[in-house]
Amino acid sequence: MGELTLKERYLHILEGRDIERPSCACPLQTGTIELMKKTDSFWPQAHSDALKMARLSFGAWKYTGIESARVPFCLTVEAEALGCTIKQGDLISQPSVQKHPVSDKKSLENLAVPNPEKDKRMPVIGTAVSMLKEWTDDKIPIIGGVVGPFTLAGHLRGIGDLLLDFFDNPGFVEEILDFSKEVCISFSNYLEDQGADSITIIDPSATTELIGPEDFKRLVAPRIEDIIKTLKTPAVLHICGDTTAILDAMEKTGARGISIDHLVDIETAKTYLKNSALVGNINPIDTLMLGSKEKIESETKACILKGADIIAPGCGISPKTPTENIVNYINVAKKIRGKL
Amino acid sequence: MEEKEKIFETLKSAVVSGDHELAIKTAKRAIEIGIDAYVCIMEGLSPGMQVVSDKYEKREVFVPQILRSARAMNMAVDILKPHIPVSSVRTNGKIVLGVVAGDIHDIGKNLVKLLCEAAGFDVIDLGKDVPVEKFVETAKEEATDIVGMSALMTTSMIGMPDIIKSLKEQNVNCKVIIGGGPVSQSYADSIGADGYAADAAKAVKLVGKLLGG
Repeated sequence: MGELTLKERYLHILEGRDIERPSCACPLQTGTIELMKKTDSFWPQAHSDALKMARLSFGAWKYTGIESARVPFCLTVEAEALGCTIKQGDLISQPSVQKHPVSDKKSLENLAVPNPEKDKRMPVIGTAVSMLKEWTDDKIPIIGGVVGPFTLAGHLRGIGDLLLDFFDNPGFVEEILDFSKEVCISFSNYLEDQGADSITIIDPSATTELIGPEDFKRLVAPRIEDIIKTLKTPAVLHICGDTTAILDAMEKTGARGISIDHLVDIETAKTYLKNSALVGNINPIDTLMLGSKEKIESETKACILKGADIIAPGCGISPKTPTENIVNYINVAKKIRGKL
Repeated sequence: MEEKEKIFETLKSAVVSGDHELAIKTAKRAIEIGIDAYVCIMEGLSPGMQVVSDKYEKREVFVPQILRSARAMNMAVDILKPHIPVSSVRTNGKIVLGVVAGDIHDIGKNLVKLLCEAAGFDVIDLGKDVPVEKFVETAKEEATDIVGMSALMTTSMIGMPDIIKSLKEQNVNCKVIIGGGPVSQSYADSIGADGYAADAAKAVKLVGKLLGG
């Protein structure tokens, strides 16, 4: 048997078939200012132009050695297609949701699940996925990122109002979440059809910094499970913050990869995860953006030795991160991998 | 128990349980029978919010419960406030708060505001997506004791050093504290901030400490 392609390694790890040698794929955002310059694909245009999006994403592999190509670079694609007002952002800041369309039951009923082939930027992401698929000759994993149901519900309703609805109108919370789930299913299935090899579901608002583990298990986890059941490719689930208390529930969703923030200890996390791959968790700011060469090296080594299966930052890469630093962690990870 | 004491206790438990109807009813009763409205806030509502804050710090409750309690407190404050003579209000210090430019995640900042106000600090809330100049101008004009800024994204937090630099350049004499998901104590140290807090409950303690309270 010949050497695995990067795509095969990533998928094997997520399928639990080859967890001896880690992958250096990055299931979270990879756009940086230096890469934007190298690929002549700048934010905010690269959020809405498929060619620029694909070039910036491909640049992460080409110029840093990250073993995947991942789109999009923001968390607002679904929200925008549902009528949220979006601020475009600039070179260093991502697009953000400004206004929330769901004020009551009626405004929720007026929303329809968007058509990913047509609505707003959804087809842009799909087109970027198929371009990447073609450019990489099917050898590098193409990762499609979608926003999880709780974060999308927060975009739609406004997170503060959504959290008060827990007490004032619990049924409404379930309705918004059910609708968000359908959007997530439709968009992630579309990205698979366009050629995505794996879907990353990111649900930052479902963090235990905001809602308790009980609410996560009751409201969020079952819906993520429903989404994953519809997928043909293995899913990675990322939730920000210290998720130690919900790791078991995250795994039960059927996610094949559990992506953890740098606040979570890998060894502790491993005791909760039975058969999913662990993704993480280099500190994206203190280490990857600002850290010395030595700090990046030692933290990367620690991630591998503690047992991470996919070596990646614990959150999206910050745009001011120097290419050199990314190259650095990738090289350290590859070197150790060679010895395993 | 005296009726006054009972009112304070009820206000406190209304805040703890997030029962805004009870909070409103009790505040109205307090005014009716002539209890000092300011003392109602300081002896009833504020300690209630402190209980909630402590529970959040121990992760016994989470943000939905804090928001519910804050709503009960604010609705009671709205009733009590018109009855407070300006002269009787003492402030423990003045704080300017905002979420840095490029970031609209303001729930953490709002929690810090709620808990600081409950602890008797005067808070000027600049909202979210706040430009550097706005922080500096306000800190200058209001002669604030503390500037608190938060960021929830690895992409937006990198604007924090600019604010600190600008405050220094313009000789604005105040402490700077930071918070938010991607931020850490070592990041605070590296950009020259005076303090970092991991959550809103810790932020209030930090403010108290920095102001020598």
